[in-house]
Amino acid sequence: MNDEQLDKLFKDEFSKLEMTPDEGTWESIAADLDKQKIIVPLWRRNWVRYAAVVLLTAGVGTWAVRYYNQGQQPTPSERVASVPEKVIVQRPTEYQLPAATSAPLQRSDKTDKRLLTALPQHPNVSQQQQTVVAKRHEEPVTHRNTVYLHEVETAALTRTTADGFSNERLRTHRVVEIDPIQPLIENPEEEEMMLASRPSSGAGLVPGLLNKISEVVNPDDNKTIHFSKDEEGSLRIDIFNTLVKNRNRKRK
Amino acid sequence: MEKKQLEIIWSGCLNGERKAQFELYQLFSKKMYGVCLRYAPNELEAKDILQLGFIKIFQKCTYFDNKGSLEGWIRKIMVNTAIENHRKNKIAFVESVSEKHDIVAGTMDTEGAVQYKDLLAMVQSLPLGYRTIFNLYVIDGYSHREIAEQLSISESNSKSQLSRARQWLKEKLAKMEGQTA
Repeated sequence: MNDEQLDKLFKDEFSKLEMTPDEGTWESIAADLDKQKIIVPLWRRNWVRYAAVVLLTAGVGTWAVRYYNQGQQPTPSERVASVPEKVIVQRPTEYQLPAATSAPLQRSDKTDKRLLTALPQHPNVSQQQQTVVAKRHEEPVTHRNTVYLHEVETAALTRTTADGFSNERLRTHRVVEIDPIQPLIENPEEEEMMLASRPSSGAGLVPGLLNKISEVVNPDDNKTIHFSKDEEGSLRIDIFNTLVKNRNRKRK
Repeated sequence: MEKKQLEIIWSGCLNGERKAQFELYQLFSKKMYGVCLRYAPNELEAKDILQLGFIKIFQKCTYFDNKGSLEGWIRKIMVNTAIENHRKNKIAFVESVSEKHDIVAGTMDTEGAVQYKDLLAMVQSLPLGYRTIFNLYVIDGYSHREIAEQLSISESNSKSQLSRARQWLKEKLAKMEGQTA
């Protein structure tokens, strides 16, 4: 018998070979299947599908409601501006801002709607009011204590009777705390000078990476484009154009 | 077996339904047991390979891409399970060189039962490497290159083991014929 015959013999016999295994074999298989907890792809199971739809709807709905509500709430500035009558703002801790106007309402006369003026002889006036400077403040501080509410939420509004006030004309509204206003730029004149000497070590990961890329791309450019991080944390690109006298600054 | 019926069973398996899995098992277990018996040295190990193979089938059923026959896919998994068993035995040096072989029990479903039984016994008596390579090459149609890849051996090694397996079997056949003659 040669190889070919041998192969043929075995192949013919074995290719159609069928043998019935023992009865207990399936039980063992089923037991192993139970043990291993075959993970059917979850997305196939019906209840998972329904649950997913419900969760998704709930999630989207929650987000939508929140977003909608947020837009609905009037901002403090709008709230203040919408007060047609006299409003007294009393801040319990740092300073107190009595707002008092007799008719006509001064606020409506001014373009800056956040201006509240106080009567000088009001007993609650504190000296700290003069130090509060809003960003848009342009007028010099007059003998009148002027306070600007800048993008803040108003403090607790209380009613006080004062000269010329009547209770019916006062309205209380929702108020919140006023944080002391911090100037965004400490010293505007120094900012330009400080730019060149500012160390890049505090720049952060992304600006560092971008700087490296710009170095690779333009190795002989000598820092024409420089990335850094803003005071607020946003990305800042400084483009040093040697042909131009002033440095151009771009903020992203 | 209608195609549609098979599809229904298969989709049940995809969902992990035990009933559908049992039906699939009933459809293919006989053939697959035959495959396992050739690769295993005895019935006990053949059963192990069969069980492992079916569990793998149910675990990996989602990987079947519906191209080609389902039976071919199932068979491939079974053969792969047998190869894994070979590797395990090789490492553990479980290979028995003795010529003893177990009497193959179980129901005979094929004609020429006697001859088949003897042939099966002969193959089971082969040493581990010879047996696996003989099965892969002669019965399941693997090339020497594929065998070499699967078993992490060289192609020439595969060829030489095959020829030794054939030699072994020829001697056995001659002995048997000598006995019957």
